[in-house]
Amino acid sequence: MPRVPFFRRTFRITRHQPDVPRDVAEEIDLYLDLRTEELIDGGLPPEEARRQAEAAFGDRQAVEDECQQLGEQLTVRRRRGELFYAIVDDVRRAARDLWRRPTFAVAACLTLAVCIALHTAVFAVVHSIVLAPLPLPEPDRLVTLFNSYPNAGFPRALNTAPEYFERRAAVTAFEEVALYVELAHTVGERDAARRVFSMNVTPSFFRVLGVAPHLGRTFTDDEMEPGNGQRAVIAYSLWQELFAGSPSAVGQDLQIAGEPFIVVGVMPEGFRVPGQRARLWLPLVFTEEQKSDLGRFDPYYQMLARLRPGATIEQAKAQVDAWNEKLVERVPAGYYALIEEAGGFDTRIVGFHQDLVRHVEPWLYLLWGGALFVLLIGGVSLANLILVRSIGRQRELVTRYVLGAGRRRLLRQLFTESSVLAVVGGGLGIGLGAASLRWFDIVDSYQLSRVGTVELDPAAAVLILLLAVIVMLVASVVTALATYRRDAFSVLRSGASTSSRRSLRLRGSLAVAQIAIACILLIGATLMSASLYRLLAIDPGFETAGVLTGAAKLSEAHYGEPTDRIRFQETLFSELRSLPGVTRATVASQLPFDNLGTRSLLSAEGAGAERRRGEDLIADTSTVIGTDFFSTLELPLITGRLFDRRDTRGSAPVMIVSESIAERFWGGAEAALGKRVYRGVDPYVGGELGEEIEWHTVIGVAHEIVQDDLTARPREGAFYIPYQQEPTRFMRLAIKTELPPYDLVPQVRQRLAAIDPEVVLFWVTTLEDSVAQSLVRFRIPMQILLVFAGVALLLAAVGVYGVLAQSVAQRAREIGIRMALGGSLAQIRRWVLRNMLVFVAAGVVLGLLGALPLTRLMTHLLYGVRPTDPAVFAGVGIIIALVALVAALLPARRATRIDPVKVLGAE
Amino acid sequence: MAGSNLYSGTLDLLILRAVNWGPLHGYAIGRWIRQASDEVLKIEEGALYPALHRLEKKGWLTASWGLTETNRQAKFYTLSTLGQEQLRAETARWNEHTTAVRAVLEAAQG
Repeated sequence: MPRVPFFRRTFRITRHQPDVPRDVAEEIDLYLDLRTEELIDGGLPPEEARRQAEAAFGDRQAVEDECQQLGEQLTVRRRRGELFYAIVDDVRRAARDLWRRPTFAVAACLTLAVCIALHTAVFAVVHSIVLAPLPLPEPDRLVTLFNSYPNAGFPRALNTAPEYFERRAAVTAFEEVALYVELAHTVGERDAARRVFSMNVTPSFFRVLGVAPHLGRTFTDDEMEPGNGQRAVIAYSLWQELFAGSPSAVGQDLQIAGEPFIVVGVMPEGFRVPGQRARLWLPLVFTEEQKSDLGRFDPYYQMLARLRPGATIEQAKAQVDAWNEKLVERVPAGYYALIEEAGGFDTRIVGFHQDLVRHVEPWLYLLWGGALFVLLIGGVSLANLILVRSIGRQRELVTRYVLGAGRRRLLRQLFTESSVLAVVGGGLGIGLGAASLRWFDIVDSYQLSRVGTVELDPAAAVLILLLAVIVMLVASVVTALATYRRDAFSVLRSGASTSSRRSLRLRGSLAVAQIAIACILLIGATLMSASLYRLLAIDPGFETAGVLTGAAKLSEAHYGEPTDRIRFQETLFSELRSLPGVTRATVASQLPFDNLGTRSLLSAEGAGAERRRGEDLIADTSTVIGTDFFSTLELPLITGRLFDRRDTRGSAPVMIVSESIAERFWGGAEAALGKRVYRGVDPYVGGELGEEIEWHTVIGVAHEIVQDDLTARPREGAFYIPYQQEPTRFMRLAIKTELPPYDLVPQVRQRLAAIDPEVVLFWVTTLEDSVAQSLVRFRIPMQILLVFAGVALLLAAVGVYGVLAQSVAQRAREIGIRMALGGSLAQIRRWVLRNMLVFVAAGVVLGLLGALPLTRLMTHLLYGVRPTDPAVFAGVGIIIALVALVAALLPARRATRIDPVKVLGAE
Repeated sequence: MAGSNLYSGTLDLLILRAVNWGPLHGYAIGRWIRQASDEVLKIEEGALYPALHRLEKKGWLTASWGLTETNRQAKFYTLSTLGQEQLRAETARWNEHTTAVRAVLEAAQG
């Protein structure tokens, strides 16, 4: 019979440590004892009474086992419940404490919210575009193929129809191969007509993507045959617009580019070809000629393939290479031998996703890096805030420690407080960041929405919130460890002064870290600004001011005859030139910064004989132009003459080439005049084709202009062909005016409609805007980095201010003595500034040194400025110093206002 | 684990009823059931304990360690708020049940 110790009996204290088996045994013992006593009272001898009591009780072991099991379960649940309530309690206490000192809570939350918001926005973009897989089944197996002629200055050319059929049959590493071209069509009739982005695709295209239609079917292979191609697959959104989502849409007629098509399928809602805006798909149709070897001269198609499960890009590449080798031997008389030798012909295979994001990926990673630095400086600022706070409550914490609150309990409190702040601040930041995505320029400017929907993934949000908690925790634990005093009593005795000297040192190092990080971010932003500045200073080689541009397309149905197109063009432009304020106007197949990338191989007559290896084949920008092209762009000729009325369809084909072509083929501009060139490969090499070729005589040489990319070095060559000789159905319009260019738009539309109401004006912009748009990839990251740097500077300035203010407050006595001893105000001020300079110098030196390896990572993103540009580094150092100076002004003024009498009297 | 002649769930009801007056330890609960039913309801005495633990786990009873009149350590069971509600509900259901059974039996007789 266990005895209860005296003191417990006295105070009726029961033990509180549960021990389930012991408790159960004790409970049953008590029962049996009492029951036995009851039976003895009833007159039984003690042994008999015990025996009966036990018998009546039944199987004691079974009862104990069952009770123990129930008891254990209850204990576990209770422990969990206790923990939950303890957490709730802690959270409540933390919230109350924070509420009592709102300045700290608000400052910490805002700091965290701003930093997390910036990071969230950038991370959402990085995640949606680069990190998340494309929204297609098994996107890792999708690859892009293109032909490359690096030696001819054409690293990325398109594919041909024969290549499609061959690779489909011969490359077993591919499950399926598809070709596509991007287009835009006028859909519907007259009033209901709209321009819709579209794609012409091989029937295999949807199988490659692995997406089935929502309604109807996609294309069958026989719809690639001439005469069978009048079929259309439409996007869900187009189905809603045109057919109000009616299931009977399948099988209905649809007028596309003036011709009747039959709708055979509707793609599922939300389906989008990554990288494309298409909402309409039509089959590519190939004639026998296009499928034959002649088709090898028409590289017009993008190629997409799906690898067989388990197959690798390397295997596919080896099979494609082997096939290309065979072509070199077989296809017409050395054609491939030439392009392989002179052009360095090679077929490249890269992952579809990787290829889509190749331009934006490095920028996005740069911005992500910047955002992480912002988060870092945010963490340092938080540490600083927590430090200030912990000085204020050190006595409280130590007192509680001495009174028996365990160290673990205090740490838990610290932890809870940090978590509460992190969840509130981080949550606020994530909300802000996600909301800011809507007006985040980068999405539209980079046309990222074509790759994927930019949105914040819930998992990513949780991850970022976790990051906020970690940042907050690290900040608070570091501070706690740095200020932790083993000897609690000394804190109580000495008050704040000694411990705050320690904390002052810590705040000093935090300020140094802040300055260093701000320095790094500012250098990054400044390097970007310098790049942009240099880019803006580039002369594109033509006059961009006052040129309105637009586009129009003549339908095959109504303008099948070249003469009709020429007549339309002549009528339109004489109308346009007669508009008030218009000085010149011209047609062109493309304008600079259109990014259409229309390039063509060019070879010079007779080059075959004394060919300089690798130099007799050039792929340069080919543009068909109207007679006023050069005068509209104020682009002077070096020599020769412009196109004029003499150059008609009937007359000998002529061409104007740019300086670099003349230089490369004939050694100079003058030598080029009168020479003949062929668009394609030297026909003397390709024997049989020599019969039907068309020679162009060079009649003029023009200066080089920037085609699409201001940064291109060397500039792409270009050659020009008169519209009269090759009238295209697609027309770019360039109109030089003395008026604000956009004012002309209504009149241009009106004139166009007067000639043919079915021809609509689209792509309206100005040359100046096109150039500016081409710089967006520099401008947007620069702006974002500037925002990052601004936030960092602000945080660093606050840090510097804080440490100086504290230092002045602490040395008030010292300053007072100095003043009493006759120190001048200037001396005091100097003392504060000297104090500041120590931090700033240390921070700047650290920042500049830290920036050196980091900016090197940006090298290929910069233009015209080295990543270690001394002027940038020096300039940033000066800016930081100035900001720090401003931050030091207030503490310096406060120092000079110290009243020695008051300070000295207070002690 | 109700005893041989106890309907399922009846033991729970009886326990709840027993502690309705105030905290009792296991032995006292068992004695109350025996006495209150004039020893008609025989339970296998050991079965009381698993029932008590189960009710504690359900949250109908709360337990605390205290001392008996003879200063022995004992686990006292008290009816929780949840338990009180349960007792009311179970009593009502029991009454309904017995009324119904009686009605059936009387009808069968008649």
